[in-house]
Amino acid sequence: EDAWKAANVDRTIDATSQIVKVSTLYSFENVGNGPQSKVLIALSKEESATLSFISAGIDGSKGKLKISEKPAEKDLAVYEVDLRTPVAKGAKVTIRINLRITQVLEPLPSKIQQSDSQFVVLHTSAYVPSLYETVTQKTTIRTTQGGKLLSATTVSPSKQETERVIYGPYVNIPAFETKPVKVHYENNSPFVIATIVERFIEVSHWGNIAVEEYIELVHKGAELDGPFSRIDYQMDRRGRRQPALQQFTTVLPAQAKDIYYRDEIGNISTSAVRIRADSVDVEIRPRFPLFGGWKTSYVIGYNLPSEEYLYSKGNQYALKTKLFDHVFNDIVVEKLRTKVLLPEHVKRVKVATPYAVDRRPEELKPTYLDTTGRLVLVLEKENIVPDHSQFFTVTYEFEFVDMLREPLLASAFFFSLFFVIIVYSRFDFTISSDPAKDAEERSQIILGNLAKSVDSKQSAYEDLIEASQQYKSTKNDADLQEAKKTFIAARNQENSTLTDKIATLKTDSGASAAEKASELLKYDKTVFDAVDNYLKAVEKSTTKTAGTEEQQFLNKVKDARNRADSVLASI
Amino acid sequence: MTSTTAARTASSRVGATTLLTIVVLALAWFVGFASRLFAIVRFESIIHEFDPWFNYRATHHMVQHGFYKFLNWFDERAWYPLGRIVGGTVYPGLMVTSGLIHWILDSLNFHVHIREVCVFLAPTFSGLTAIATYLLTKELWSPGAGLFAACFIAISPGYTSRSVAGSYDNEGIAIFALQFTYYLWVKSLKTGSIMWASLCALSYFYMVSAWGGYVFIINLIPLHALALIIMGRYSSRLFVSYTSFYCLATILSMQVPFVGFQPVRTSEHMPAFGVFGLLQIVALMHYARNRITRQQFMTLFVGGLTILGALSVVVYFALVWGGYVAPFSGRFYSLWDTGYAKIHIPIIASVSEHQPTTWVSFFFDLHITAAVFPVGLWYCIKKVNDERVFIILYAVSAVYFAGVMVRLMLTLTPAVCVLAGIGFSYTFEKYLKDEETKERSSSQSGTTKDEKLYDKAAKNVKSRNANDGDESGVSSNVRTIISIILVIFLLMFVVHATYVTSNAYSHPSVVLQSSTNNGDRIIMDDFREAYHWLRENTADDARVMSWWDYGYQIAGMANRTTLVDNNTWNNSHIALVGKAMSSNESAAYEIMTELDVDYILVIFGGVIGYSGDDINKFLWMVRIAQGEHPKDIREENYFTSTGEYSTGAGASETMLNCLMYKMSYYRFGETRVGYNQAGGFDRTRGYVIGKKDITLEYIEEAYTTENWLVRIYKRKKLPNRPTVKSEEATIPIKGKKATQGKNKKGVIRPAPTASKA
Repeated sequence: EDAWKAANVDRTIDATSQIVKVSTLYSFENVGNGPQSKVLIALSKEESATLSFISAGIDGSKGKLKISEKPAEKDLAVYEVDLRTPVAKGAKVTIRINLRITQVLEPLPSKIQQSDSQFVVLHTSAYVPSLYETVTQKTTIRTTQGGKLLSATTVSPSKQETERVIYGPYVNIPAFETKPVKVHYENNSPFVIATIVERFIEVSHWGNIAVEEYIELVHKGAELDGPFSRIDYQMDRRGRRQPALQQFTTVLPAQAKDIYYRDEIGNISTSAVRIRADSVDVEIRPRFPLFGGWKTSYVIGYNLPSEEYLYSKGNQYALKTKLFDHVFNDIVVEKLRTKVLLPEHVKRVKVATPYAVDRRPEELKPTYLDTTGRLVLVLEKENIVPDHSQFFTVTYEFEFVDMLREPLLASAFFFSLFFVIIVYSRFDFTISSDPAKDAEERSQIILGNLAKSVDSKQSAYEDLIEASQQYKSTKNDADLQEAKKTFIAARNQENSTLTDKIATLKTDSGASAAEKASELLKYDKTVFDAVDNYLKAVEKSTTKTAGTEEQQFLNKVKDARNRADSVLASI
Repeated sequence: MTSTTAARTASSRVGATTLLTIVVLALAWFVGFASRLFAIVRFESIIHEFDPWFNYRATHHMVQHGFYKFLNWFDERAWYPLGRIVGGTVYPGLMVTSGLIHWILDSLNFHVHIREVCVFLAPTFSGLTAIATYLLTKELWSPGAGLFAACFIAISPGYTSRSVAGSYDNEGIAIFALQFTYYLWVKSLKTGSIMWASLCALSYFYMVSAWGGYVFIINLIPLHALALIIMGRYSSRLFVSYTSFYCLATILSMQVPFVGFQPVRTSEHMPAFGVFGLLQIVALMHYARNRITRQQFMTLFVGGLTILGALSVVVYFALVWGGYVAPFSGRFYSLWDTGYAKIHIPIIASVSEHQPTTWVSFFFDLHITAAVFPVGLWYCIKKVNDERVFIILYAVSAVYFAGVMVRLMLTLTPAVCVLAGIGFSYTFEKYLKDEETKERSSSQSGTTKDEKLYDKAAKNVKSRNANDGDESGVSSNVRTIISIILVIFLLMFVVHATYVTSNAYSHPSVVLQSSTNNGDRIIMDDFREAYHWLRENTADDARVMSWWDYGYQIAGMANRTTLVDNNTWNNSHIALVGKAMSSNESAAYEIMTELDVDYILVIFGGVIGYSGDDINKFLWMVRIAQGEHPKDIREENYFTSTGEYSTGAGASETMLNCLMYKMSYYRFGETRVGYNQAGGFDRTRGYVIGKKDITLEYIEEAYTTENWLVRIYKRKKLPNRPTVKSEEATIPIKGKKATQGKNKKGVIRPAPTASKA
């Protein structure tokens, strides 16, 4: 009454590392009543309990088949494979099922000395668990290369070779038949498990994606018993094949830059970065070799350019990045927590993952200049193997204006700060008045006025000189007289302001300052007396160059000017 | 000349000066900050050395649990089994400062790890120190001298040594507080204003909360006041500023839990109180002088003063005798008698920074400023006024203390920078001024700038010199040469400061660095390797025994319980650890069992030639242990027959069997440096060790780092008694058998139930 019959089953169990990789090639024959498109695959209870990853495909083609879990039957976990194309009655189909089973190899003895090798026991069944009758089947268990095989249950016909144990071929095994076997062999690959991997992906629309991973490692193989001796470790002939994690390589994306590798007490100096054509390899050596039962933890982080991973169309954005990335080959992660920090004010966030993950409540995290905080997506998954290193997509909407908000905020802050400083330094906020200070300030102002008057008087002189120079060429008397008139008017006005100001200065800063200031007038007087002479000389002059008298006058003007400056400075 | 006016130049000169001042100070801040980052650039952002690790750990605790939890923090991970009340035994200023900065950044949503705040705190404060020094020097002399002083302190190696990035210690912020307090004191003395005095007291409070060196302030300011009184420079300004400062400062300083009632109960604080009293008398005297006759005055004050003086001395000794006032502490005596510590408190003498300063280190730390500061001092003495008395006293006392202890070089550096600033500024003022005087004299004589000829200008200068009479005929040639030489000195100072900062003071000492033959850099990260191993792979409550130097690092990096640490308050506990290290294995095991030790950590540099290891410190362990346990530990037992300290061929039997030797050299005999060298060649000491076949009975090797720098041993638990077979274990009962009844196996009968009939 079975719909299918397994014509041939060829199973390979690769137990060389800590992950048990089972690859089974099923050849099914449709013995049902019509074409069928679904076939059931069975796993033992133990296998399914620690199953991390399962995938199915038609042998020979690349496409993957859909697989879903069904209720268990008689101690066997059942998975249904969707073949997509129905298989006609009597026809055959060959599918390959890949399993990744973690933490099933049991170290025996569970405690070893530093010089000992690690031995583990694999429990499985000589017969491939099946819901259908199998015609022929064979199981190959691959053990470590060059390692010892201590024992293996014999189920005739079974063979023990140097690197593998072969069970079968067995003929006509009915459904649900099991035959437990135990293989005890040497496996020195470190059984290092990441108890937690916390992955932060922080998206910045300014062109950067920051990735940081916090990783806790523990060696769950045979525990180190007794002392750890550095000299034995250094002299050990096994070298890298000691059952301890000495170093490993983490492969990062090719665009990764600014890589850091540290722990809570600082940078771990024993690491090296190699840039390859399509990746960046970080050779990581933990601070100390991880022996059985030892733990360590670290943080690795790097930056990625966002153009490789962030796609946009209008205000629609899609972030396509890895949910879990490479740590080292054959790692087992007990718990993965991926956090995605999206920019502030994103809307309509959707997550599409290649496999089911546990989506935890979203968080808000305010960082640099944020007001409401950034949206943090939290995705969790347990029991992860390297096959889970796949891309996932987060789509969201984001307005470009929101990007400019923070720079504008900072600019506004600094602008107002400087504005307040400007206002504060320009205005006097003192409540009580200080007469001495006020007088000083007033006299400063008067001095400023004095200087201004001296300045304009000087320019009046200069105008006059210029006019007389012009006169030399034009010989226009009217112009010269006009210039003289303006000059005298200007000078008189300035002189009266000066006298005024000097009077005020006298009341404010005392007689000595005023006396000094009145010298300004005195110097001026001598210069003014010379003006008439000068003009006469100009009128007489026939040459274009200045005569001695003119020169004297010019010097006098300059001199008066210098004196005025020194007088002002002395006040 | 035509457009600008004198008044405008005057006002814009003020603006230009302000701008220049701000630019110079900002540059000083920036250069000071940047030159302290060598360690960050070469290594990483990491806390250095030993004490900073505790400060960092305490800050971390405070940031996590809040200030009040921090004040009440009982640290059960230190001084096992005693524990330590941290809140009451630290100066919290440092932690509060960085906690506050962290809080401000956090509330602005700048999430910076507290470690980064701690690492960059000292360089940031060096800029503030430069500004405080500028203000102080400006008050003492002139703004120009202030700028010089600010630039000096910004890069002076003597100060940089304690304030490089990562050197997260009290001194980093305390020097700022010190300089700022002094500035405010000088300011309040000059103005006689209560406001400045109160600000000074507040700044002093910050200093008290930050560093134990506040005692220096509370003795120097009274000394200044006393000197002023003696010099006849008493004024009401002094009275106002000192009395308001003293009252406020004393009350404020008592708010710091660690200080508590010390300001009124210890001898170190008594001089300040004495001067306070004296000032009242002097004030009264000044008040009374004009109101009574000379005769009355003499009787009143000569008699009164004698009685009061005698009385106060008697009262002081009575208080000390009665135990109300603590006598001077050992550390205080060791300041006056350099040999005191060696005899009485070996633990103080064992610290390298408590050694007397060598002449070389004066030059090394201060360079040209060490040579110039006497000049500044001389100028101050020549043109003395109230506030310059202060800097004179400061310099003289600081020079003395710096000569006694290397670490007090730190308090000397600011004084030297101030005085060197004054010296340079005054000299330059004299020697660079000719440019301006030329201008003035030329404008007075009516010549234009273009006509300013060389010999004419010289003549002008000469005529001015004749008028001044102050400077006796220094020709402009000499002026130029001297100025250039001084500038060269200043340039050399910058070069030297950078060199020293880069080479001597920028090593985290947690990470070691060496180079291979072809120049590649090798980083030896053994300390962190070991501490991280302890952190990850030992029980959370494991107790680690090590020499006290590494206590803070173990607590900070490995987060494990330590027996003794760098807060060396309990000498006998340290002596017990020293005794365990210097005893033979079985005796040590007893001590370790009593102390509940799980792991023992030793530093061993024999493989890579690291000289700061425990074998080289071992003699101090022996000495300190001998101080407490003279019967068990004798220093001379650890010497060779010729009286040398050696672990080589001639080492004594006691030495070869002590725990320290065994732990350091366990299985070291199997290592070989080169092919033609014998095994067990100690590269630090330079000889082959005395005994190679070391067996351990009570402890086992738990971890040794890559370069053997840190070796961790585990104390074995007592072995179980030999197992006894089960038939032997049952003791056959002879004689009368137990009563045989129905209830052979001792079944409990159901309890009688009460039933009503």
